[in-house]
Amino acid sequence: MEIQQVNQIPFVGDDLPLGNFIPHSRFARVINFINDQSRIVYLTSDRNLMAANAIYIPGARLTDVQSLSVFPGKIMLDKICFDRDEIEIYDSGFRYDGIDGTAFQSRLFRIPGQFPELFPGKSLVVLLIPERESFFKSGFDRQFMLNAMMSRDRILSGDVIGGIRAIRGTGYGLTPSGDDFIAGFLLGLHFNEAMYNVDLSALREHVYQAASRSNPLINAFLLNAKNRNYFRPLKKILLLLCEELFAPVNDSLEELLSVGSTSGADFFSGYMLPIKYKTGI
Amino acid sequence: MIVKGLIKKGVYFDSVSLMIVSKELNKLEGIIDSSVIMGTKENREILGAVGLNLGIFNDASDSDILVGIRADDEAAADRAIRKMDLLFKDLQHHDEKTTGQKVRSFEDALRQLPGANLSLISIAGKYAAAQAMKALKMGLHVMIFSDNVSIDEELELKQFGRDHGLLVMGPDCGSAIINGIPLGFANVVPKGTIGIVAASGTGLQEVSSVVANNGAGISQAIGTGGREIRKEIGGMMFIEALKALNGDPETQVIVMVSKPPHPDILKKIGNELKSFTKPVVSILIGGDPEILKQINIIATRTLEEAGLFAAAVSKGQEIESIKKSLSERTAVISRQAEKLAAGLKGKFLRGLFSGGTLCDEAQLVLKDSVGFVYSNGPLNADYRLTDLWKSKENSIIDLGEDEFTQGRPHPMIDYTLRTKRILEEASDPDVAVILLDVVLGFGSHPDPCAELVPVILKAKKISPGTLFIGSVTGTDADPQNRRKVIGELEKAGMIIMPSNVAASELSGQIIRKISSKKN
Repeated sequence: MEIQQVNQIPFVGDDLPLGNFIPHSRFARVINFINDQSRIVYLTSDRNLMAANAIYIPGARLTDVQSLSVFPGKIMLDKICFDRDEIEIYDSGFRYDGIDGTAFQSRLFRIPGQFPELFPGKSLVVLLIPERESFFKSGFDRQFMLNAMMSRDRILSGDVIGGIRAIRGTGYGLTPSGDDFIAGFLLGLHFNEAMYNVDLSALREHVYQAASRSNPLINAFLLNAKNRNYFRPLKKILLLLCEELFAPVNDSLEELLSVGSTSGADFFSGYMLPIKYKTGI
Repeated sequence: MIVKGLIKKGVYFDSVSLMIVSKELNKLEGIIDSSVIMGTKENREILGAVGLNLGIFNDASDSDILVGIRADDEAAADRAIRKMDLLFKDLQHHDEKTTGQKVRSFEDALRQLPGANLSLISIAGKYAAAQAMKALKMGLHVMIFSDNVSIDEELELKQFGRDHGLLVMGPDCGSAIINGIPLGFANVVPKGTIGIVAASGTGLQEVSSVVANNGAGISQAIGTGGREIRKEIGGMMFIEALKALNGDPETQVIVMVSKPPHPDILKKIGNELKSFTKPVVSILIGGDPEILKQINIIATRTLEEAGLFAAAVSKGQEIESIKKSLSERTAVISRQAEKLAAGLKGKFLRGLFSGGTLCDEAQLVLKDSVGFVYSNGPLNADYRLTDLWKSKENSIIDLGEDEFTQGRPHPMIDYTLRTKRILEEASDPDVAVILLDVVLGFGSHPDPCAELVPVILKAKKISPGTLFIGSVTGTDADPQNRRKVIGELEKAGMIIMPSNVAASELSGQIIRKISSKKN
């Protein structure tokens, strides 16, 4: 297969940290880069994975990229310099202004029931649909699920930070399920703020502080959520729900849920939970 | 019972990978429970609650991977750790090449695999042409596994491909090996210097397997689909593929496999081959090899001969010694047939084939010993079976033909029809020999012996005298392992010959000897 050099950057996220970065971890569609402040920027060959701290480079083999520098006006990938003025910005913001909140929620909560097969067995959607308990089989699985349920109950009883502390860092994956859930939770709080016209910024900050840890990947993910920066696959789903288009949600949902094994589903479950139970209101 | 564990530092796997590893470890014998998770403090607490936490885990960081195993004994735990290492290596390799995201479109696929240059299309025929054209317009070579694509569509696709320097393999292209990767029905063969162009799927498989089983290897094996050599298509991809192999530095010997092309097409191919500098071996199944001999092509009569000759030429060996040993084998087969025919009560042959080209080749071989045989695809139209579900005298059925595959998988995958038919044929007291092909490789049934052995044993109870003769197309490196398959079939009482030709020769000779005795 022919190796292609990076020759264009069509999109960059709207909240890229600055500095010189070195590779942190590599996957087929993503390379995470880290700077001396432990901030993360990732390169992705998949436009669907855009986020506030992402750089989209189509058609390149990511394994070949070795260095990254982000300056206010320029981005340098290996030895190639790109002028940021010539690159489009991915807008990670989302505004709920003017939407019919009741109808939006009704469509949102239909999703797990309408597309149950799209949700991976061991995802935290079990917190919303307890019948999915049977997917958790091994000793770790069962204990993880029970812990997550206990955390949920603490959140619902009003001890949000206690619940967040109990679920953070638990579960599967490089960004453990509990942390994916918390990132979604932070964005769910944003919905409640917009819908009920309240300021939950202090709660978001506390949740972020309670959840952040030594893993820079998790922190980057949580930071985006705290700052109300939306990951593109979730943003696509929400746009469809706002536009009262339920049928096409299927495709976008599949895109979101295909992130990691359970990451997308955990994130989405985290988003739904505070909306369903009106956390912070 | 023992709890064992380790920390993997400095490696990163997504949750899909960690779950796969954990699931596979839990399947192992002697493993009671296991977990492969990130080393967060909270996960360690959960491990502690289920008795999988170990002192060494206290040194782990959030970014480390923890592996906790509860096993019956030390040996089982060690086996699991070894297995885990292998799984991680595989996943790492896999992750470098692919992604786990579902693919819903060419755009998705290209995003996941930038630089891909070939598309394999296996969808309902009526949609295949449009998708193939889309792929071509995106600059991809195309292999169309689907059939039921109209000849007009095939022509349009192939003209577009030729004009844009792209290969269009198929429609109905069942087999190819590109850059060492088997596509469709194909076998695991070593990389080598022999390039194949084939307008026949099982022909490609038989030749590439013979090559591999005789110490040589394949550079590329390009299928074109069976209609390629018809006048309407004009052999354009066949010629393009031959030219590609001629220009390929890794290919030193070229083999062309097909049924006899339309005379105009054969002339066109011949004109192209005149300028080739590499040796070309041809097998035009049932065709006249003399036409090609005139332009210094090594013409052969059978798929086996083509594979053997190509292997010899690639190794710089003379083909005369192969001709001699094949001739000697014919004499051995004749003596073997004499012995086997003695005491047989039946008089007819029934062939039940899964490979179309192997079925054609068997009929050609049998023509020399017993004459034309009845078939759903006979050499002589007078011998077309009127009722496909009932054999007549000497009959050979291609179970891969459309009439048998409507609504069910190909007989190389699904043996149901064939096993049923074997029992029916064995119940006929006039049947002396049941001739079978067994095709291995990717795409084929993963365990053909599980289907065939019980039915052969059952048939032998119904009719103890009936002989089962066949050949196994494939290699020892195939997932099914040719050597193992042969061993199990022989143990069940089947006579396995080295090739389809040899099996057909033996079967034909037996029927001839029975017939001459009775006359």
